[in-house]
Amino acid sequence: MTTTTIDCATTRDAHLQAFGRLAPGLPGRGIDWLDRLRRDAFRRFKDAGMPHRGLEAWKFTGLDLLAKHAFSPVPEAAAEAEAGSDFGPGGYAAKLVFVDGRFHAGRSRRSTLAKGVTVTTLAAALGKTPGLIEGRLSAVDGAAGALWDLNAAFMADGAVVRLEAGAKLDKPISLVFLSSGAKHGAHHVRNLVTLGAGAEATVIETHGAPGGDQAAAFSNAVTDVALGEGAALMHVRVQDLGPGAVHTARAVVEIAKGAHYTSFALAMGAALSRQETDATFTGPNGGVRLFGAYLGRDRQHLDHTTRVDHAHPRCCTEEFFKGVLDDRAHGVFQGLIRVAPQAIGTDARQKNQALLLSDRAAASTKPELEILADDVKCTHGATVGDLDADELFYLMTRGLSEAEARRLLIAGFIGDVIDRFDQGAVAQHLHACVARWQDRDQGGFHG
Amino acid sequence: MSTPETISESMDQVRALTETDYKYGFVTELDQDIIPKGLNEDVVRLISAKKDEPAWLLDWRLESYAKWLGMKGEDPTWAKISHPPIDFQDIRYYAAPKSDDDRPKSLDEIDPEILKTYEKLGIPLKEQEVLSGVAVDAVFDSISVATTYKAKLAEIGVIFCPFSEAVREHPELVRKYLGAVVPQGDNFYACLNSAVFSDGSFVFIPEGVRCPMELSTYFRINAAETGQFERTLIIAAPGSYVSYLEGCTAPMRDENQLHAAVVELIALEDAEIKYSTIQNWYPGNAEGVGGIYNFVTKRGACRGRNAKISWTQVETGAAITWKYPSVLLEAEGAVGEFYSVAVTNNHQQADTGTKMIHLAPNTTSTIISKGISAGRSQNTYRGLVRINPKAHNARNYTQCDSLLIGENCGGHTVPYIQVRNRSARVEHEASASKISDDQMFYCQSRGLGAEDAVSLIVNGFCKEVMQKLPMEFAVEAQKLLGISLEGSVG
Repeated sequence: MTTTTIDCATTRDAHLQAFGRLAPGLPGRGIDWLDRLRRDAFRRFKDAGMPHRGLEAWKFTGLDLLAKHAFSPVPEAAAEAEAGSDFGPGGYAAKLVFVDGRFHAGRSRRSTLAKGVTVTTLAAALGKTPGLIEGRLSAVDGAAGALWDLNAAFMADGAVVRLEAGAKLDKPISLVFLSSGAKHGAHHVRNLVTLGAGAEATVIETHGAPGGDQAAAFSNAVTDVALGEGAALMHVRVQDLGPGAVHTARAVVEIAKGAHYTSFALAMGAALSRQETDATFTGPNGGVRLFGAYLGRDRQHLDHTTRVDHAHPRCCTEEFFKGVLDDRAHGVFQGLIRVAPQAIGTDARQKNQALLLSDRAAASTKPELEILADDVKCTHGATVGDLDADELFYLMTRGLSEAEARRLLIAGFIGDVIDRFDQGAVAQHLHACVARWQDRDQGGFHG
Repeated sequence: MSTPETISESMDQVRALTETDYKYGFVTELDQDIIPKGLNEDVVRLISAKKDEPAWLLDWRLESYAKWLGMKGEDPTWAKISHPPIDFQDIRYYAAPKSDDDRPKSLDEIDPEILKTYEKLGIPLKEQEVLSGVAVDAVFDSISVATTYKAKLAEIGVIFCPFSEAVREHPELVRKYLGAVVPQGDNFYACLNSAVFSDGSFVFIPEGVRCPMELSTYFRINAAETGQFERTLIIAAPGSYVSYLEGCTAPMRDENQLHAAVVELIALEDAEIKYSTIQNWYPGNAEGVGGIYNFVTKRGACRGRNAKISWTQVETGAAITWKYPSVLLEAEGAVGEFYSVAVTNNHQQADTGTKMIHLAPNTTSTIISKGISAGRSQNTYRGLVRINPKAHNARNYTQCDSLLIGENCGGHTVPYIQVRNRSARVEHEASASKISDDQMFYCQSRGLGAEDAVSLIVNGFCKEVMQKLPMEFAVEAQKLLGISLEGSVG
């Protein structure tokens, strides 16, 4: 395992120092537009610095951990990732495993895929068919997006999933991102999911650490999604990293006419986690359904931030996020729905509910509506509270212990949002994740 | 030969002389009624001197000014409003009240547009004269009306007077509570106000007294022309009750573009303060030229058990409104309420809402906000509900609805909810919609014109808030909503 020998005070410093050294080794070196993209992104990051609480979008989430430790980009993949439980769901069409942000062929499975379906890696695609990637990597503006600039500058690999028009996958594609034991390593994956007109697929991202690894790593992932006319994508992101980890992730989604994007973001691991979704309608009649849950205990800080841009008429958004927060955990939900003047007939709903299980847990919520059109229907709602005493009492009169009753109520509380998202195998997988989180309650964090 | 005593004596003389000299330096300007534009320490001293203020208040102002200097460039930019940068050196910070000679002699000299609005609101002729600043004739002597009221209030121990009078007559109360809720350095505009505040109202309700009448700053009792940096302080002693009205439905013109007021409310044990505002400052013309910038800091503190503070506001005026009447629920059982209607039309911008800070157990708060945007206006609700760790069983209910009229306006909702106590229950609901074609059709098929129909529907939309207004204001306020939305349909 290679470790960097330069002493840096912060993650920012570590990255500023590493860029010159690592840039020549990053994939796609020599491709003009990519070199420029990386250079520009790096310059913007250098100017803006890390996002901080002074920025409205980061009001509730501070990246103090990134300033406290110098997470440095991992220069190359670990020789062999430790054996661990098989991450991600079973019954997949293909499975790509990335360790420390780089493709791990040995643990990946790619059987023959249906016609019109391509599953490869970013490094391979840049080597063979960079034209497919050009213009598809999302860019950012403003200091609030500095982390995504950092990703653009340092992205070393990621999954590329491409479905031609009309192609359909009946089983999910599983993308697994593992952190090896490298202490204070940082890795930046960039995934590209592109669906042609009428294509349908399910992509499940799992960010984890094998065997509940205690090593603190910083993973900063971006997934760029483009949906063609009438396409439908189900996108699941499960974050179950080790207790010292810092995880920031962003899905940038473009939805063409009549296309539908449905996602579930589950945050249950890491010391600090922020999962962003940034969806934009590029044509009318599209639909976005964003679901999510955050399960926090100890001193975890879990943040879900969403932004849906209604730039075209007659699009629908439904958002539903639920959180369970124990010990000193802090859960954040920020949801912005923006309706442009021309987006008449918009129907947008947003809901956030959090359960506080401890006197020291905290929940922060900011469901925001920005409406510039008059012919719209928009609502949002938020509630925060403890488990209902009557419900608890009812279950206990039926012979359940208090612990069992609480467990059942919490499973039901989170199960509700999963059921609204999906009823099939994907939902089963999510229910199992929640159960796994509840099991840890007995024996410490990763017992 | 000089002894040490004589030396120190002459030193004192020298000091006295130099200090006096310094004083004279601005006293020369004192004789003028209007001071030059711009703000510096001398201007702060001058304002204080003009008002004959005691040294402690001058020190307080100077301290605020020093703090404000330290905040340079920190004027808030987070609100959803836009305006050219304000040149704080281009503002006149003191103007003496107008003498009768400068006033219009009769209503004939008043802008006919304004007179038309008075008529629509149903304001009596005599009140119209007072509102438009016509020199008051002998028959309608507002001073004598005020005197009658004041005598009645004094009987039960209620103090209700201009702020500057309170500084003279009740310095111990002012000194104790000034800045007790909105500290000098609280925010950029509050800090500016603390340095240069002109005048305002002071209210003290003694223990156990229920104030028998609605207190109003509007011409009924108090002096008009409180200036652009208004400062209000209301203290309700244990077990007392007061309802206070600010502003009026009639359009208010003012030459000053920037208004930065501070209002502080203190409710002690079992006391209740009901503070109602109708804000109808000049919003600028239909093209968005001119209009008042209304940047206000309003905050109340429930300092005793079961204290209650209730804000009700109808905001229809001003080119830009930046205002978040808040309640600090500091004692057990305290109650905070916020009822708001904000109407924006043409090019108006409003970023308004509330903050409910729950710091003690069993505190409850209710927020009902109705935003109506029309024309090319932008209307934002921005509110914070914070439940601190000690606020067991705290309860909040928030409802904010936006109504959009026309396709060029914006209605935004930015709620912040922070909960740090598991036993708290916090609920937030928001919606945005337009007046439906069905509603319009129904009204019009019953013979209502388009504008009357809008007025009816909007008043229905705002009903929950309008009901909270004192009776005498509610009727005028309903008409005001209709007038504010004129020209938004058809």
